[in-house]
Amino acid sequence: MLNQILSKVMVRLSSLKITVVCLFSLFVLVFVGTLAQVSYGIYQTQQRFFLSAFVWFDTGLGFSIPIMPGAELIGSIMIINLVAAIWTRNLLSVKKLGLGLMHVGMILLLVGAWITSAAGIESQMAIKEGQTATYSESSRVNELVFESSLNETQNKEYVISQDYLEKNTLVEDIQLPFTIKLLKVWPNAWLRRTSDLDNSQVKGLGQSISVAPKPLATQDNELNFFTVKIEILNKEGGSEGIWIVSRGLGAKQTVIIDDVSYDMSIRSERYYYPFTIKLKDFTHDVYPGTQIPKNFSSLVELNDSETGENRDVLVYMNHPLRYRGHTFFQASYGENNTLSVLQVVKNPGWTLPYASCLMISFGLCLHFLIKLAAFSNRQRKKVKG
Amino acid sequence: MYECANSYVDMNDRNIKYRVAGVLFLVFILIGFSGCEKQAGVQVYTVAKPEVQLKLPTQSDLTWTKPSSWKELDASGMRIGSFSIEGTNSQQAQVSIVRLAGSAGSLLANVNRWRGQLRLESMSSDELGSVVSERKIGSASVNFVSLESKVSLAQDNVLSKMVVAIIRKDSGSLFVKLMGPSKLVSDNEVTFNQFVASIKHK
Repeated sequence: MLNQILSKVMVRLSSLKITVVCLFSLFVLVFVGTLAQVSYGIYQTQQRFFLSAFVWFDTGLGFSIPIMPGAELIGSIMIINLVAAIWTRNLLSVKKLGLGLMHVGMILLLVGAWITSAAGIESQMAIKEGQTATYSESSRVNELVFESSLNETQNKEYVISQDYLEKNTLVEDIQLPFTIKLLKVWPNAWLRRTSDLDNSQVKGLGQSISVAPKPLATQDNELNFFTVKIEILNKEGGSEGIWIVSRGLGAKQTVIIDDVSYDMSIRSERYYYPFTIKLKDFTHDVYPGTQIPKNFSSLVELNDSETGENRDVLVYMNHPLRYRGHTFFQASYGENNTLSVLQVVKNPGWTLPYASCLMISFGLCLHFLIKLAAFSNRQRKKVKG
Repeated sequence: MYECANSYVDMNDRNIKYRVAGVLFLVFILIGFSGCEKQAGVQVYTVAKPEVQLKLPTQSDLTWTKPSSWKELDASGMRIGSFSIEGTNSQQAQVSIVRLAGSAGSLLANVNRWRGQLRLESMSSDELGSVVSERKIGSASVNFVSLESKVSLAQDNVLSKMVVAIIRKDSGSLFVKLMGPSKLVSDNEVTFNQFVASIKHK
């Protein structure tokens, strides 16, 4: 009984109609997503169309409605559809192994995309010649940081990600020596210096600043002025004051809690590494007599105190530095060729698309050979018959 | 693509267990990834202090001549220029240059904000004339605001004084502010006026 119900459900799920609908939806999604890049920019389009289960439309009435499935939902349905197809058609049997491998390859491709979107991180590391970098920064996401001096050479940083600040109203943590109450969060804001508002309850720079919401930046060279209005409470629950902290404020603001001074600010989200990278030399070659770039390269010194690794690496086009799960590509430069910007990519699923392509190609060849063998067998029988 | 679209093979009990386990495994993987958060809550790092304090980009389209007795400080925050003036008895006055977009509020609102800083009562627009004077420097007309406190701001019985020059241009408003102990500010007013006149676009 159970077997029969299960079989029926699996047959439904493996329907070719679902496959066609999914492929068509993907086609529409890619088309609409491409057009949407004009008004939303590439980052927002990726988030709204490809890294979400639904594409939401803001009705302007305070709520949003889903208007079409996003790539996450379509991908999930396709995986279920492929698994069901393998099951019902017994594609892993010897005779159908070619088809089976192609299906598994497809599943691997989709799972790879999922891993990349969920766990992949892209950031940028800007290093001046002669300087050493220990972290890279996100070009899109921000974080709230409280820095206190630990000793003469070290600082302690308490960092809360933008994502966490947007989803919570209270930041309380055993590691944090105070509690942060989020009174208001602006993903992007206009800041205006003014004296016409009653901001007397706000301390610091925010006292003479009015904040108004601003649509999210769409262009790559625009910054979002992520801004928060926070109340800091000491461990006894007493208020230490209200502050406005914004990416748009150049300066750090100081708050003193239990005789410890903390510099607070909002900065690009940072990723610290257990190794350091020093830029020894940046070279920007042009074709003689022109300004056409021929080659950009960064000579860096990699130093890892944990593994004892210390070596020089030349990073240039198509020759990134790969180290401990991170890939460093030459991305940009500046300040009269004394500053190099490396794009740092961490993608735990980077091998999956290669494995999947190999599997699909191998599956196709195998299926062709199996069919060819069956066909020649039949021909031979015909001739004999 | 599918060879036997509507036929499915017999499934015995053992087979089905493996298959159910396989599908459940896949579903768990997917649920696991969909719930992935890159960072959650508070992260604490111990980091080396920055080697050099990064200097914010200053408004490089402006130039000025710094009086020799003034000490230039690092520009920080909204300040594009910052100076300190040393007086006797380790008294100190500060000069700051801030540029803001647009008119940056009405003159009255600004004057009352500064009066607030000196613990003076707000004034009405009719009284503005007593503290604001207008002078022509080059082609621009500059408003000079001069305010003096009536009580000591710190507990040192020294009154404070503030002189602000407001230069309005199409590109925005420039506020040059001198603030410190009354005597030190008064002594430096002539130098301050010369400094304001020296601020030019490159």
